[in-house]
Amino acid sequence: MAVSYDDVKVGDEIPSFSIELNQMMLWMYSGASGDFNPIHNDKEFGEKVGLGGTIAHGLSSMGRMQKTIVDWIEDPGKLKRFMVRFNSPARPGDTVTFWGKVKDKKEEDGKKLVVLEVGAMNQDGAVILSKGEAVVEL
Amino acid sequence: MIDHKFIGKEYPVHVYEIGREKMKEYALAIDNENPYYFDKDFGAKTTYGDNIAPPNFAAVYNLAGCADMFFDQELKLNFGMLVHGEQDFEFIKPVKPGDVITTTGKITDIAEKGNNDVIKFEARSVNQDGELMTIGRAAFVIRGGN
Repeated sequence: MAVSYDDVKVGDEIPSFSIELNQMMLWMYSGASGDFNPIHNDKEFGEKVGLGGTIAHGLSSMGRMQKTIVDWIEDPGKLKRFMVRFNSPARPGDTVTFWGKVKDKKEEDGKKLVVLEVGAMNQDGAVILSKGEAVVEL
Repeated sequence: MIDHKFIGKEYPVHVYEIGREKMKEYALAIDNENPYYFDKDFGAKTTYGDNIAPPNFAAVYNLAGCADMFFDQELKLNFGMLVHGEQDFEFIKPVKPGDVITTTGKITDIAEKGNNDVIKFEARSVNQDGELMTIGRAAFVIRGGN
């Protein structure tokens, strides 16, 4: 059953999602997105430019954050606004956890909107996505 | 430092046709299996009448214009030091297979923050009927300045 506006309460947490990243996932994201910046694909290049190796595409973290939200609302078309800050990079070997909680609910122009605060962190508590916000129409 | 005269610079129109398999490939790359993207029969029964793309597929069709900015020979961004700082998407209508999406992009801001330069880009995507589908606002950081 999809979540309903009336059942949602401010402070509710949505189910979190955790995943361990590997280099193959970064290559797959490069292929799917067309973003072949070597900082995501070439370990030596990543070291040379001071990143200590490859880093995951910020948009792939945003994409997995989107997955976490959509798993909760079921219908992806209900996601209306979605913003994040790419606070620090996720890397192959990291286990990243994506979370969200209800910050506000409001009715605007006959639309029932729920505002989520969302974010992601790695296994050491380093913040990967910060200042995340999503607006869904339920 | 990036010359502020480039604020307002517009980039050529990008036309992108949404492909069913491509949007599924994108969904899989972000571990997002969902019948709205994958199941054709399911999609046909939804209010959309077909499968829809993952909202963040906008990273492909909406942010396409960024590549023009990244490799703009006038702007000369240091691509190796460039990282994506922030992203904001407004999803006005879901895009579907066969939609032909036209996106225009422009530089909306250039600023210096500490040792870094920050350049902001806005892209607006409309469909084949001229309906506004998606607005993307991105901030890119040039580490150490350009």
